[in-house]
Amino acid sequence: MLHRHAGPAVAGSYTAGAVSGALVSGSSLFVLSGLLAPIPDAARQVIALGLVCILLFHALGIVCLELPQRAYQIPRETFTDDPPRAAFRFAFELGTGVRTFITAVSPYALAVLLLLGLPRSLTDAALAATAAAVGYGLGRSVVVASQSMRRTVAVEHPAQWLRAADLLSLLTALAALIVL
Amino acid sequence: MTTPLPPQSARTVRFRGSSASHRVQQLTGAAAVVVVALLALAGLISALPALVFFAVGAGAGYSLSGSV
Repeated sequence: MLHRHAGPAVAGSYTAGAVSGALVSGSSLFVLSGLLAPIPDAARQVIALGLVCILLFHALGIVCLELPQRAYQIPRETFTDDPPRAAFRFAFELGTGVRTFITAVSPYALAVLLLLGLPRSLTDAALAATAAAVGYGLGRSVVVASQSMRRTVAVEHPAQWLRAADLLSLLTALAALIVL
Repeated sequence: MTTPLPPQSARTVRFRGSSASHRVQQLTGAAAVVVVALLALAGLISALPALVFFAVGAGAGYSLSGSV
């Protein structure tokens, strides 16, 4: 995908695709959270806190879990379109979070937060779910967007910052479940 | 009279420190994490769920962005 330099058109398409894909998954989780609404608030909070704690232990290496993911790579045919269209399609599939491998733990915490930790008010819940999806899509596009502003191609970002962001998101999800 | 140039083999070019690309990657990564942390803190302090959810989403998305 990024063997060549991503121009502004490709980076924009990529970001739009990632945000769109994330909005699809975010909407699905928002609807599912509505189905879980009959569960009392306290029970939902306890379950969510327990799940996020387990995910945090997994991220810290205290426990080792087989987290569900689709062991599938996005096919090469995706890249046969013209570059902006291919970037949109590829990023859309990545943005959904269910089409390919998940190499971090915090996306699972985000799913738990959206399923069990959304605010009670419908407007606030919709706003929070949309914000989470947009944030996910934008975060997913940081590497490509930052490359479009530079002359050189550098696909990888430092692993320690990716891991820091992973742990930070897990801790923020935990704090959100306790404080909000 | 002109002085002869030194032979190519005698000239060595040494690069010291990390490359510019590496530095920019480090800075971009650090900036992304700091922005997410500030957003999360602001959202938690001001009790704005949308901001906290945005921060969790952004951090989760960025943590996956290494596998483009």
